[in-house]
Amino acid sequence: MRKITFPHMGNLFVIAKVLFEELGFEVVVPPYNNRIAIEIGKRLSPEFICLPFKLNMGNFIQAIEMGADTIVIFGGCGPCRFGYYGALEKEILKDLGYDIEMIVIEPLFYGLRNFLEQVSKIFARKNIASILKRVYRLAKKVDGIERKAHFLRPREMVKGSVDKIYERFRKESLQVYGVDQMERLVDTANVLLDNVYIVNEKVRKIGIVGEIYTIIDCFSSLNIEKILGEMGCEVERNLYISQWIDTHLIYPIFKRKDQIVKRYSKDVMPVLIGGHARETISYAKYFAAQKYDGILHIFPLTCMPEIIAKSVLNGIKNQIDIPIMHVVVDEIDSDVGIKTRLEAFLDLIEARSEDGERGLLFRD
Amino acid sequence: MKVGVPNSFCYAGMENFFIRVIPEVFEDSQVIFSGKTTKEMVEYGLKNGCDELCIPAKIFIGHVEYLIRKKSVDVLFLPRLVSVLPSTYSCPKIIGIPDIIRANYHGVKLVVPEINLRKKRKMMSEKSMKNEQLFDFPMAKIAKVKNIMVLAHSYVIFDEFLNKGILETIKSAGYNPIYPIYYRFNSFYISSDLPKEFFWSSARDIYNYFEWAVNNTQINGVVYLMTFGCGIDSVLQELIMRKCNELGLPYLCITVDEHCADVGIQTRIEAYLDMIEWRTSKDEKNYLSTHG
Repeated sequence: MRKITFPHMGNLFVIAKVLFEELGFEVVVPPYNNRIAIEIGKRLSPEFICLPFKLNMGNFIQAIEMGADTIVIFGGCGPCRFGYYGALEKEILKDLGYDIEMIVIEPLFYGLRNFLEQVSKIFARKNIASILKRVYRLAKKVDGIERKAHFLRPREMVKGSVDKIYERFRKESLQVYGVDQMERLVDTANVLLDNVYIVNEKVRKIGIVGEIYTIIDCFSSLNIEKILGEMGCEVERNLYISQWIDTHLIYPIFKRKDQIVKRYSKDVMPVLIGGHARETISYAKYFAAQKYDGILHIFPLTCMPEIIAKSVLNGIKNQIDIPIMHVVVDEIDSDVGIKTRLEAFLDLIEARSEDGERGLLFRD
Repeated sequence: MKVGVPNSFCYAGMENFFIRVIPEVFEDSQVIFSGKTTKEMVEYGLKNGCDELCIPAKIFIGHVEYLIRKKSVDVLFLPRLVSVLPSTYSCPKIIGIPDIIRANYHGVKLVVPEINLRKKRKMMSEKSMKNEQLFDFPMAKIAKVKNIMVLAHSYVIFDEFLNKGILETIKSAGYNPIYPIYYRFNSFYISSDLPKEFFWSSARDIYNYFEWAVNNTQINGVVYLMTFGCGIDSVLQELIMRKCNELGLPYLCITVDEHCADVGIQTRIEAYLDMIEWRTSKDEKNYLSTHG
């Protein structure tokens, strides 16, 4: 039987694991993104490639050592580098001498036959529709937990109680099998989170925008959401895994578009330039319109679309009138630097809101 | 009306196209090119570009600023090059660069038509696009022996600030530099040994040229001139390096950014060429390696 593995991206492993289990495969979940993964990735990857690629390489090597023999990832047809990840990773693994099969699910742009050929290697069972439906519902629930954690962290009375539940959920999800058990686990975590005692503290709201991998994956974003939560900030993101499924897999079928993106990107970036640059800009404007206190823009070093987004955001900063901090992540060791920067950022927000007139000083 | 066109970055080599197209778009217009990259433009670009941008894009911003400040143009003509070859994309930075200019330079009128050959949909008039190529660069002459292949984007090879006189250095050492140019090779050559065909127009051009030249000409070495922060180069360079290692071709990768000095790069190239010289002369005399 195939032993399937896949790269990490935040809580993606919860969903991917049960999906492949339901389809009747054995699943090897690589260890969470960690320092070792990044060291391996750094050694094997091209020098100037973006961080997610390096983490992917680390995940694969660690998973292969645990006995995986098949890797499943998505492909793409550009213009972002992600579309070439699969092909390049295949080359690198081949040169290293690993005997491993890579299933790269390319979009329909490269032909229906190619797509079906790759997909049929995974989806051999008959009741796909019901499995996919259940997994999709699970994805929504898992993202619900993350949202709830974001809401509770700044408000919890006993500091750290949310993270205890959240971490326990992540740990236990590796031990359960199939959608049903996972769903029960999610429900338990939900109930536990609902029982966290909250106090009404003064909470600031920070919107997070940026490149999909680095904002969904807490390791690569240096636990920014957790740090912000501890500093008394509620975090809202523009992207969740289920939302990605919505906008990229489900909306195109019904020819629907994300209304916020459609509305806010009209005058700054009328066409798609790849990656999530357009989403970044439109959600930054959306968060500003919703009177958030600040925006964090997170992206990996040398990410092509997000650099454009940053330049455009720099250009329209007078228009949206909200503090924006850009965080470029790469193979960074510690979160001390980021903590200091976040403190400074929050100080700025504080000063800006307290005395309205003097706050003007900090705007530019 | 003064229509300004920066000719660096993605618009390098498109002069003839612009001269042909602009009179069709604007009545009674005068085309103003920004010309060659000067020190002044580089400084403008470095000051106003966002830090993470690649150096050609920063220089591009310098060109735009020069046109606005010094030439006082009425309108900037910046076609959005979504795709310049069928079924490919340009680099995201090239697609998005009109948006950067629009966001950062208010008060300047921009005209941004879309050129998209990806799905055979052309936003500009059929006449001006038909059977005419977008880019127009001088082709490299291929010598019988002693060829050194310089791989880079065309806007790097033909920008005197970026190429650091690399072609001259190679020539003066007695070698013949050959280089790929955009939009030349795809008509008759499609590469086959790639794990997946590139979806970037420029990468496809460069790799096709590389593969064609390796198979059909006598090449002594490969120099990859990479710009810091270029996303395409980071993937392409790796694949070309692997291929060169496989073939046993001498390979040198140079990363250029705004801080690099001409002399340092010249020295590296000279050392590299010396190595090639030494290697070929030793090969002929049944050389035994000192490594034992």
